[in-house]
Amino acid sequence: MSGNPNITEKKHPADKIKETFEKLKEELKTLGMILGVNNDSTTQPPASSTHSKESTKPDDKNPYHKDVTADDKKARKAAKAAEKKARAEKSVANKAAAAAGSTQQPQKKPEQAGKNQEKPKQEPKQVVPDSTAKLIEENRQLTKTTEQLAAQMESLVVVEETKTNGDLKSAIKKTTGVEKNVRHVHNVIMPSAVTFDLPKNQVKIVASDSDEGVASEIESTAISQLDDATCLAHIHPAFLTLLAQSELEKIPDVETVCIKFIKAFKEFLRDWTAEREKNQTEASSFGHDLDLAIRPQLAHLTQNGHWPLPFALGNTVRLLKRTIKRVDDQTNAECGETLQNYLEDTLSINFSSAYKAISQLLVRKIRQFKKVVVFDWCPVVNHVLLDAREQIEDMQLTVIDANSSGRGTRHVKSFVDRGYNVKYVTMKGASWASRDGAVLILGCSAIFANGAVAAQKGALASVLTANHYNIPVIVVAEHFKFIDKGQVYQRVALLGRQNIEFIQSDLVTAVVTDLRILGPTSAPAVLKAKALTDMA
Amino acid sequence: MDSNTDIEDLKREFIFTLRRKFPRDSSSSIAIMTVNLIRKIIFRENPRTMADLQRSLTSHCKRLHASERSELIIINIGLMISKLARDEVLQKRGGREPEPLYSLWRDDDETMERLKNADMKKIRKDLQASIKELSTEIESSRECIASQSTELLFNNDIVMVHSLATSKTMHSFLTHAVKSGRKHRVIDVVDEEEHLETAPDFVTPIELFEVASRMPETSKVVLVAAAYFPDGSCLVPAGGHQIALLAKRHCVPVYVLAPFYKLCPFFMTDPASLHSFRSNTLPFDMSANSAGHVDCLHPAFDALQSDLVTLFVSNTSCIIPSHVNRLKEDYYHSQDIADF
Repeated sequence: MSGNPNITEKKHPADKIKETFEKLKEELKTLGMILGVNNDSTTQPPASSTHSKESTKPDDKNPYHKDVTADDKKARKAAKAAEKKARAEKSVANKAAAAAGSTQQPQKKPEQAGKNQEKPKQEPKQVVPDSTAKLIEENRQLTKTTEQLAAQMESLVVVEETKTNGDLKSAIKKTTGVEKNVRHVHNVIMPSAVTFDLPKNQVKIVASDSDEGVASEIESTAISQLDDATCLAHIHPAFLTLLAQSELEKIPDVETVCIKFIKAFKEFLRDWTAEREKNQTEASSFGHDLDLAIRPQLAHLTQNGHWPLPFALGNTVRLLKRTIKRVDDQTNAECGETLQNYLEDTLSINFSSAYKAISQLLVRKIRQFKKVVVFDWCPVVNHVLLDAREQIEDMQLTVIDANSSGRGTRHVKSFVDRGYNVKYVTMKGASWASRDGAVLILGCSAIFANGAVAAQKGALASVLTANHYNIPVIVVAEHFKFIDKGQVYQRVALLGRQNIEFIQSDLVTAVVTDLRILGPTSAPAVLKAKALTDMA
Repeated sequence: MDSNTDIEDLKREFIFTLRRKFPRDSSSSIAIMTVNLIRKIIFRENPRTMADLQRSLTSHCKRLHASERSELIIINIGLMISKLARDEVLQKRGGREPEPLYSLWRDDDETMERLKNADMKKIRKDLQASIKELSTEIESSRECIASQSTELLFNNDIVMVHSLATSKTMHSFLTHAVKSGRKHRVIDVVDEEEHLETAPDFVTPIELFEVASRMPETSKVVLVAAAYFPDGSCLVPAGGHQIALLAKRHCVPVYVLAPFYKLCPFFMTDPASLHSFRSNTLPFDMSANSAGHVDCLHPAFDALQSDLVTLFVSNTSCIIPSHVNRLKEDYYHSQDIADF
């Protein structure tokens, strides 16, 4: 059976799944009784109660599914496929009765779900002496139920990921208690139940019914790699939230990602330290254990290395790991404290103080150029602009936006809220904006060792028009955005999977960091100064 | 006078037709409309001499252009017709051809006198005939340009185009190439999200901000001109400047489709006067706060310098930008330009 290997693999790590599986069976049995049970359940001996449930289930479902015609067709398809398989196996069974008994056993095993193995042994003893026709019938029903149960299992796993352990029971009650929900569950199970990789749109059907939209996003990423499904139980919800937010594209820029990541990490650290205290583990292995614990979390965030972290975030994470390894305190609580303080410091150094330093350096320059052009959103640039506008009365701002109602409108909003005038232009008018402006200020995601700047899409076009009209291009970057790599062509995770554009260093006039203003080719100096080297 | 009011009515109707149509009609239809209008005006006005004809043409064209500033075609057509008239006169007279190489800007006095007193009656029929020829040439310019696509686009080319949706010339250019069996991919730069769905099948639509990341894989860029000038510079729809700059950085040739009636004999000193700034592109929920504070620019054209253009594809042939000055001699008479 196609379903078997998947099911046997899932058994191992998730005992909870087995429990919920039992519960589901109970519920379905009662459902079957509500809907009208047929004879099979009464003829079976009570010892193989599971077998009776399984055989009632297809019969229950058959009259039930006549109501749901679309599902009926799909059920028929599944049944036909199961029949073919049953015929194939019937030929095997006919050749050797013992072989038939053994082939039926692995079919039974997943349904037994780790119960005592005696019951499956009883069933073949019952089945073998029967006529071959009945054998075929049993086979067909059992394969159908196997598939159904396997699919149910998957839906359960899906539901389980979205809730923490405590909520699992309620989740199951949701999916099995109300008939409407059960119908939806069946909607997921029946279609193409023969193949076990659920297409993504079907997963969303489940989610949209019982959970919020956020959960559906998580499910789509999990189901695409079924092996990781159960590992999600270990992922801290703070990181899951982070991933969900980024999928929904609520995070507009790298800085926000970093801040949110640090906050998520602080939550994780708090919980982890508390648990550690409860378990009374040694404080000396704090750093080492934390390092190990963080790995699956990060692996999940990057989908096992498929989507590397955004460059600046990668820097932050590496520095964090370094600090973790060096942690050496007496008690767990103190270790936790040190790390929390370190994280707080990082937040303030990298963000609030850095913004102030950069704006101090840059406002002096803007004073000479009255007309400023900016491209797309960057919180640092916004901070600088607001400072500059307060200090310079006759500063004029033009905002180039990549597409209409894009992120550039945030700049406009921040200015309009304070009552300042601003000009707004979409990408079409980038040339005109540069013609009028005196300086172009850009934010960036990262600066590479060769001076190349990684910026949002559309930045290169704006920079070229600025160069054409001979106006300087200034890039703003905090020190943690400097990366010790050459230019890489990659996609990055956690930023809505956007692509990044690369601007060569010869097009950029200056880079403003919180240390000082430099030329773009001086990037290695910053790397050395802030000990960001050897991070590759 | 009757004919005068008639003419005024005609002109007014023409202007209203231009203004009513949104989005704008294709340039060739505007050109043909202008030709018809001028033909009717000449017919009604019935000028006696060449000088009269020229005076009336210039005055009408100037007024029409003043009311619709972004349509340079009107002046172009007026001047072309004037040249046609001069040619007719010379032919009738059997006079020597003015040789632009040997004469300075102005014709010598004798020719001028002759032209001034030339009697219009004799040449009117021929003038009408040549004006009709002009309009057929305008109509056929699209196919002529399209037929040149086979020489410019080759197999396995990746062609980036702009404003495919709004330009029929561009569309016929590409479909001609596709029909003659060229296998190439077309990337179309579209303005708004809506056009993304309505693009024809052989075209991949992308937005303007993605151009920079797709330029490395592009092998040719084709733009369509709104107008081109004797120095080789041209006006293209907004956004073309960035595309051309990126193409230059990646050494990709830029072809500009430019039918002859878009050739403006004058230099444009202030392209800003041509713009029709239209819609506000801010999202609606911001409009309450942003009233009075935000200035939304929505330019219609970009000016491309001549070094950004590889070839102008005209209906007769492909010309390099530095050759445009010579080409204008074919369509316009230098005297007219000087007197304008």
